[in-house]
Amino acid sequence: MDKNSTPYTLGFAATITIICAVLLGVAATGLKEMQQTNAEVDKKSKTLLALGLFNEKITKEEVLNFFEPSGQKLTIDDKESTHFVVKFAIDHEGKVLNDLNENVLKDLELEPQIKEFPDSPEKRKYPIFAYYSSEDNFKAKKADKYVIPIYGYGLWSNCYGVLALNEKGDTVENIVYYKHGETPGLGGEIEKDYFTKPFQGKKVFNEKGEVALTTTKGVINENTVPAVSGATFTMDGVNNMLKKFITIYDKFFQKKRGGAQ
Amino acid sequence: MTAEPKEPMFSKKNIKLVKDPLIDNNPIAVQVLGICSALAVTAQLKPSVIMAISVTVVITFSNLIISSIRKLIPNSIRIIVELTVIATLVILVDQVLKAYAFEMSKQLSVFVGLIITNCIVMGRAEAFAMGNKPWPSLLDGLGSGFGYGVIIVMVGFFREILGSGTLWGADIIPSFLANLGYVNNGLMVLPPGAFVIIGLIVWLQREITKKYEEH
Repeated sequence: MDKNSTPYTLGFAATITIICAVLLGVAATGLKEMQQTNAEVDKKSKTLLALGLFNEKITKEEVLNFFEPSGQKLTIDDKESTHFVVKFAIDHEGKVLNDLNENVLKDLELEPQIKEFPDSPEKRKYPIFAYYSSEDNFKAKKADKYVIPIYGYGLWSNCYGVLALNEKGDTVENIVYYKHGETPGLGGEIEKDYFTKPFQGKKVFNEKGEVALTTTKGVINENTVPAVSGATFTMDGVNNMLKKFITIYDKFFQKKRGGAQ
Repeated sequence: MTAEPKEPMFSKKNIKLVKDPLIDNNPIAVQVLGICSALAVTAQLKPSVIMAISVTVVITFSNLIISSIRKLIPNSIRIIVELTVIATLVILVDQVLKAYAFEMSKQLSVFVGLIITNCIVMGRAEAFAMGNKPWPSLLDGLGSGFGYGVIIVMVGFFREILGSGTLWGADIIPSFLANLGYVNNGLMVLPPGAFVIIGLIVWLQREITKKYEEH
């Protein structure tokens, strides 16, 4: 058959496309489980990072252990204790959902909840993590810190992160972005330490009790951190998601603070 | 029909295929291809090494596959067929990295995907694999991959030491130097730092080979 005839060309193109597609399909399916585990471990590591518990030496198993009911032993400043990170869920009024099925809780993610119930926040369940730095605190249900998931649109993509707050929910412990598709070197800088570090210790609310935590190119005060220049849209995204999710989760913290604020 | 005299697998000509791109005809230093990724991923040594390996794997296999089917490829769609093969290999590499080297794949982010657009890969497929047998094509791919890899690993090595004071993530600048006022060169962390190093490498390469462009 003539190699340059149209039917041959079409046939060849179709064959090669199918072979490549099958190959990729097999590879993607075969590796999917490992990739998902990696993504899961990565996300949990970032939650630990936000809590100041993560370092290079921690293994995959240890990362997952923190989230188990048995906790993970860790030595900080020569003091060994067992650390616990516990996932739970709250409703739109900030009430803790105690009677949630274990499997439902395990798979509970923020983004699908919001997408599933776009117009009815009362149906949503918001995941949140409590951190206990010792067995005593764990038994007494006295959390040291809380971690809330945040996400929102930057310039090109959804940016996903975690925000660690103190036990009253009014001071930032840390913020970590673990997944985004922003421009490397510009919006992508949100994952860098120099952007996230200034967040530590910032107050969430201003004197009027409004959510005021934001990035800015102006004056730095107890509520503001320096924005990344050249990344205005990403910064707008960061500001929006901070305001949105702090407002939602603050209903939970308000109850803890005794309704003041 | 007389059989062609069989060429030994590691004949002089074949060895030259691997050796040539290393110094004499280096893809980056001489042909000035693949500069984009040579700037983008070389701020540290580790991603540079992973990138070098990934590109070598992609070039080698794309050369091998394209050379094996070169007599079947219709002339009018050869470029897009080459591209399909290369794209498939790149996605495979990306998937494997995501499964086995997740941290690295996050760090390399889009640049693994962008191997597709690396001119060296396409260039070797079109210029060599389309006209040569599979074995020499495979060697040619290996050679070009190593040639590219050698340069970006060198660039990554110097940029990490000078820019971050670390090597493979470990601190190597002794603390007394820092106490004496030594600071890391911030320029090296940024893409222009890579240009400076690549420039110096090109200079060195020309001095070794004594081959200059005539003007």
